[in-house]
Parts: sequence; C-alpha cells; structure tokens
Amino acid sequence: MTKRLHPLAPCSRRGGVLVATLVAVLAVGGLSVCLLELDSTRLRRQVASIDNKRAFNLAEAGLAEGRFAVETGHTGTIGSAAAPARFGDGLFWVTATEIAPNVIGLESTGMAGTGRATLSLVVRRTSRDVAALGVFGSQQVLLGRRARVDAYDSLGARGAPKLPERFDPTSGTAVELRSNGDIELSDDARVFGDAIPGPDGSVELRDDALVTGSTSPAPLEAELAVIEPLELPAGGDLVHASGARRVIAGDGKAYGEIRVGKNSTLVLRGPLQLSTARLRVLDKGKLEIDCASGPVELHVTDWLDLHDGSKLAFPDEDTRGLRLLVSATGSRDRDGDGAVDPPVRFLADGTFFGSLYAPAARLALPRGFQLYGAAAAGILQLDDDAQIHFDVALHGADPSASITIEPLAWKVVEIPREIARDLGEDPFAALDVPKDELKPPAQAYEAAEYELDVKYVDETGVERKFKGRERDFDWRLAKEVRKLRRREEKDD
Amino acid sequence: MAAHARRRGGFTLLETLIALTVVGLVLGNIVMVTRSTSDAYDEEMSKASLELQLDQTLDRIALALMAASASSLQPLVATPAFHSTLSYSQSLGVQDGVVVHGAPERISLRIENGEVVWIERPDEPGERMATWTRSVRDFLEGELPNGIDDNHNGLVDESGLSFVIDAGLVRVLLTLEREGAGDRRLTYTRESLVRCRNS
Repeated sequence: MTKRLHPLAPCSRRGGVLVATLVAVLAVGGLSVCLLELDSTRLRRQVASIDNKRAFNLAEAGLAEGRFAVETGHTGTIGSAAAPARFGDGLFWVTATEIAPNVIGLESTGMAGTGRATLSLVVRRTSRDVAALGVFGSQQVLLGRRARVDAYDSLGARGAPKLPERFDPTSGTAVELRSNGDIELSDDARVFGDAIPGPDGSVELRDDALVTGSTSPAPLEAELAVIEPLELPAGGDLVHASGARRVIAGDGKAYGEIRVGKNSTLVLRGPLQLSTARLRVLDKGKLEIDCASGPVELHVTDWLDLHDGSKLAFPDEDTRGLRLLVSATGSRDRDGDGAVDPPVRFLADGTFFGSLYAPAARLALPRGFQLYGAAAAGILQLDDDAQIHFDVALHGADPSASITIEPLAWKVVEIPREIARDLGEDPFAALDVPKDELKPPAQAYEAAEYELDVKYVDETGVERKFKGRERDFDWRLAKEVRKLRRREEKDD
Repeated sequence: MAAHARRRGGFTLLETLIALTVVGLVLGNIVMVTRSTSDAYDEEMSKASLELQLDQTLDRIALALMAASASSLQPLVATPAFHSTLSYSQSLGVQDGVVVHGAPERISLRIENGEVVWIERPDEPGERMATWTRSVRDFLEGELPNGIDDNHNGLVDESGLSFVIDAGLVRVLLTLEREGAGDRRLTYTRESLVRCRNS
C-alpha cells in the first residue's frame, strides 16, 4: 500500500484553486474581449472612413471618364449597376442624361469595400464648329420682309450633292435659327424650323411672319469660339486690278490686304489657307472660290469689304468648300475717306456657298442674297428677300473644330437605394456581379449601335479617319475628335 | 494519528510570510502591468479618436468646399491672408438650363468654445447650425500669438482652423488638442488642399 505524499485537502476546499483560477481567467478574458471589441470598432470606423474615401475617388474617376466619353462623342454612360466598370479593387458606373441640348448630366457611383459614393456633374458640350451653332446671331437676329431661313442636306440620301432648289421646306430638314438675344421677323419672313432666342430673349413676329417650329428660348446662352489665328508667312499686299484672271493656290500667306479691282477676277484655289487683314472686292470685281481639289480657309482680321456690284462665284457649289472667318471688330474710318466703316460690309451679288463666321461683327446679307451653308455673326441681318439655306451636312465637317466640355455643376448626391441596402465588404457580391468578367472603364462605354464616321487625332498627333460600325471602333485611340457623324445602323 | 493531523492543519509563520510576499509581488506586478497597459491603451484610444475626429472634420469641410462655387467664397482675400470663417454657396445642379445655387453656408471657428460650427443661412431667420467638432486649438500647432510665423507655414498667428484661398483652391488647416492620459496633451494637425469643383 502506497502512502500519499500530499494528502487530499478537506472536501470543503477541493477545487477552490480551480474555481479561483477560472474566475480570474474569465475576468481577464472578458476584459480582453472588451478591449478587442473596442479596438475593432475603432478599426472598423477607420476602415470605413478609408473605404468611403476610396469610393469617393472611384466616383470621381467615373465622372472624369464620363466627361471624356462625352468629349469623344459618346453619350457619357459607362456601365450600369448590373454591369459596372471594374477599376482597381472597386467598381463604378456612370449614368448620363441629356438635360437640355448639349447639356448633359452625369451621375457616377463608386463602390470600394464598404464605401459607397455618388457624385453628379452637369457639363455643357460646345463645339468650335460653326455649323454647330446652326444659323446664329449672338446679339440679335433680324429678318427683313420675305426673308427666309431653312435647312437641307447637301449630301442627300446617297451622299451626292443636292441643291435645295426644289426641296419642300415644309417637309424637309428643320433649321435652328438661334440667338443669345432677340429674333425679329418682318412681314412675311419665314423660318422653316425652330427660332430659338436667348434665355432672356423673345421672338417677334410681324404680319404674316411664320416660324414652323418652336420659339421657346434656349436654356443657356451659346458661346462663340475665338478664332485661332493662322500662322503663315507674310505675303505683303495683293492688289489685283489688271482686269485679268489671277489664281492663288498652293502654300498660303498672310497678306496685309487683298484687293480685287474692277473687272478683275481673283481665284482662290483649294486646298488653301489664307489670312489677310483686309479683303476688299470692289465694284465689278469678282472673287471665285475653286474648291474642286480641296477646301479654302480664309481669315480676315480687320475688314471684309465686298462692294455693291462685286461678285462672289462658287463653281463647285459645295458648302464645305469655303470657311470665311472674320475676326474684325469695331467701326472706324478704315479707308481714310472720313466716313466710318463697319468691320463687315457685305454687298456682293450672287450666291455664297460655305461657312461664314463673324462673331464680333454685324453681318447684313443684302436684298435677295442667298447663302448656302452656315452663318454665325454678332448681329445677323437678312435684308428683304435674302435667304439662308443651312446645310446640315456641315455638322462635324470642320476639320479644325473640336468638342470642348465645360463643367457647370458638381455635387454629392445620395447613393442609390438599391446599393445602400447592402453595405457588405465586397461590392461585387453586393451587386451580385462577377468580378473577373467586368470590363475596365474604357471598354464599358455605352454600347452604341451606330454607323460612325469619325476623324480623330491619335496619341502620336496624327489625324486619322474611321468609318464603320461604332462597336468596331476603339475609342481609346482617339485623343481628340475633330469630326463626328453618327447614324443609326440600318438592319438591311 | 492525532499528532500527524495536527501537524498538517496549518502553515508555519515562515511559510505564510513567504507565501504572502510572493503573492504580493505577483499581485503588484499584475496591477502595474494592468495599469500601464490600461494607460497605454487609453492614450492610444485618445490619440486614435482625436485623429479620427480630425480626419472626419477635415473630410467634412473638404466635401462642403468641393461642392461650393469658387466665386461664392467669402471673404475672398488671396494668400497669404488666412480666415477662420468661410462663407460659400453650394451648387445644387442645373434647372431649366440655369445653374442653381443653394442657401448661403458658413464654416466658422468659435474660439471661445474651441468649436468648428457649420451654419446654414447665417444671420437670416431660418438659420440652422451644427457643431462639427470640438477641441480646436486657439492657434495652429506650433504657432504663438507673437506676430511671427513660428511654425514656418507662411501664415502669422493663424488660428486653430484656418482657410487660405488661392484661385479656386482652399487650403484648410486644422489643429485639435485634448488632454490625454496622465495629463499629457495630445495635439494633432492636418492640412488639406481643396479645389472648388464649381466655378
């Protein structure tokens, strides 16, 4: 029989140490749990704060991407809640809404971790393309008696040139006659389309004057682009008064004055870029634009003076053949005869084909004059019986015109309810979307079923063209869009 | 048997003293460790909480100023002047083609209470106010009211909340100070540069 070295404690003391130890362990454990809980709460708050910042940054990235999408001719919509764009560890999608013509609202929602953020940006799309303004008078538009403004498509259904002599203005393309101020129509004047005054302007119709479309004011004033001066070698003065025919072609020059005298003809043969301080065509002088081989761009910086009896000739009758840009401004005595001369005196006979842009001057088309193409001026006036036939084919035809985006309003908005319900740590699970199958932002632009005709500049600065289905065009190639035409795809 | 039982019924004085000493030492150590851990934890918690409070306040201010229209900022005095109060209007969006601005708002430092307050429609009948944070220092960290740029940030005697405006950019500086464990003062400073998204 063995003897216990440490005999058992009395029954009343058995397990006392165990109980005491257990109590101590439980107390320490409880304290630890409390501390851990406190610490993890603090950590969660910090992580939530970081996630919210990340979500905010993702939403900002979405707005930037949406803005770029609008700039490159897309709608601005990128992905959707059902198929968002993947970006880093998070995702975003952008919804674009056309609030007013060329005013687009972008709403971007970003999700990262438990963070959610939704931002809104309203942008205005402006184009340096003269035709984008329609027929435009910045301060005022005045239509004389029986004056007429309408629109047509010179490319026609098959792209063949078509003059509007026989088109029916009541069933044809509608024009947009715009102003930042008032529009006044004298007796029997006609606008076949919309007459859109400025936000505070109005349309005044005298006896039997007619506007077939809307006369509602524009929500915002349109902005006139500044004329970028051409950098050309100086060419002195060009005075042509020999009575013969003279052709200018090839490399352009910057002239001090181009003057065409009596019974003389000056031909500007495209492709050609010219700049002159003064362009004067005197009585019985003739200025001919030959654009069979390419367009002519003519900048006039001080004085456009087309005398009564002067003639403009356009043998090709192509509205894309001439861009006449007049940056002249202010009235003063320009020829030293003691009389004040306006920056633009337009008294020529004939018919004008092309775009005429004089943002700081009054452009008054003389009685019976016809202009095919586009016209924008500080004040646009059509004397009695004058006509403007706006060519919708000019939209996007200006190779130097690019689209610019102006931000109007940015704000934080409430996150959509459907995503506010689930604030789980995995945004992909919250939206129930497969992370690996989501597209990056550049490939998540709204799928468009359009025929695209785009002229763009790639990242190396080279101008390129693409014509075909939009889905076949990689928009990442376009760093700047210079021309854009979209037509809905036909099923046949 | 009786003698044996008596011998096992208690401890000698020496045993008791040794046991008490050991237990005392152990308990003392436990108390010391617990206290220092608790102090350290409290201090860390205070620091973290103050930092979080600072970050959240600065984020709130930044967000408000991002949505503000740059032209509505008042007072619009260019750098290096600073302000402890900034008024602005936020853009609410575009309605009927016109940009709509919200009611005037103001973010202000109340030095007497060490509070940053946000006020909607200040000095108007419908005025609404909320305190965004407390524990704001009278002067920014490192700055003394002596007419000298003590903390070398280009500003002289700047307050605990300072706005510096520079062409649509607002530099926001904020210092929070609070008593930590052991009467130590915890001071944290943050700076943020915010661009007003609306013109």
